[in-house]
Amino acid sequence: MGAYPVPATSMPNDQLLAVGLNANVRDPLRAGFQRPRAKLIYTQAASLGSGTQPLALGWDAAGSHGSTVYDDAYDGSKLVNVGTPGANGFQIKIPDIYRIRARITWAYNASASAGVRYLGLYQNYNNSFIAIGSAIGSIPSGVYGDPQALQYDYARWINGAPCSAKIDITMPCVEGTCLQLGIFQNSGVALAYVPGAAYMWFSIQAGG
Amino acid sequence: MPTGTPRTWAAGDGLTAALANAEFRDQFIALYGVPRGRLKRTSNGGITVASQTVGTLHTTVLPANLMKFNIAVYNAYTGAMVTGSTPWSRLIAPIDGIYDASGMLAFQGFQTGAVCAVLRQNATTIIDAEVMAGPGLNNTQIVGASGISSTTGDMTPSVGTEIKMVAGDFIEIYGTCNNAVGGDSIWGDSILSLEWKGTLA
Repeated sequence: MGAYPVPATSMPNDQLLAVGLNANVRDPLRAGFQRPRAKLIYTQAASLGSGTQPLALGWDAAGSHGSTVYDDAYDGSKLVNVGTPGANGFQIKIPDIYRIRARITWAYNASASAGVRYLGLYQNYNNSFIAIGSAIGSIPSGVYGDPQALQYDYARWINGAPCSAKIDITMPCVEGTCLQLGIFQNSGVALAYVPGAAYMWFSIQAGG
Repeated sequence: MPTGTPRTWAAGDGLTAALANAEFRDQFIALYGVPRGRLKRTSNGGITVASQTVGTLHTTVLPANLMKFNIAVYNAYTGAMVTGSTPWSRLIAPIDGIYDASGMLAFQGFQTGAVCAVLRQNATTIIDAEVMAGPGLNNTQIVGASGISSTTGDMTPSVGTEIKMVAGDFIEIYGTCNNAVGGDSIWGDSILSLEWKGTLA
């Protein structure tokens, strides 16, 4: 199980040795400065598709335009978990309170009619997102909540205007927790897409 | 200046006062007294927002106007996070690391169309953007839009993300809209902030 290094309690007659300084000063400080954090980003415009079901967002090179900006921790562990269907996102190695943030911006689309789009954060999704989607029902006719999402945000989408949605949540995560994003964009748009680099990103940071 | 990189000690290292200050005191200062700055406006009329057509807003690269600020709410590294005289447009990273960058633009009396706030690193790289549709559009499907029901309203797109920066990099916030609002369309209270969060390997 992952854990932060805990400084030892000094005792009488302890000698100040290099090995002790490294274990009890350097390592805890390093863990404080270099807590687990990672960020995924889209690097170019991308079509995300549309329909009546939510879509799981992918970040791997095969299915998207995603890229890892950084994936770093004091102990060398990695958070980014991509490439496996249903696993696109982050997987927790060290239990902590994590701040999880995400953004998507949809481009202007002249053919889009009124409606709602949303961005949702999901936990341990495991390739079952479509089943979750079927429970959401009749967006945009009146169902505005997704009970499976840890947090979600809607974007007002009127007359083809560009719009944004974001996630910003702080929550405790145990080792092994997987976190993914899903989007919904209803009918009436032929090509709903992220308009360019950095308009969709997903980040996680231990310690809030 | 602390950098957040603790020393690896070797056998035979003597613990001098200078080393103790550098490796204990300054490192803990870096943990608790991180570089952080926040800029704010105290008056309306921050930028003139150009009128643009819907089709040119937010398709590839956002055309936008630079927001400037006249007070520093706090500036933990005086002379480093901001430099020169007011109005400032940027917050500058004093050391390498991961930063939390954020900002908000308050558009007043907005009508039809959309507004946008864009956070940029080193003037050119877009690191976050938020677009909001104005209240003058058909609002039968508004969700979470603060109960807007008239044809004018105030719009506050906000941006924020973590970014890698090296010393000397800077952030700025830009605003744009496709409404013919003309002149002083930005309220005071618009803000820009930057805070160091740690190091990367």
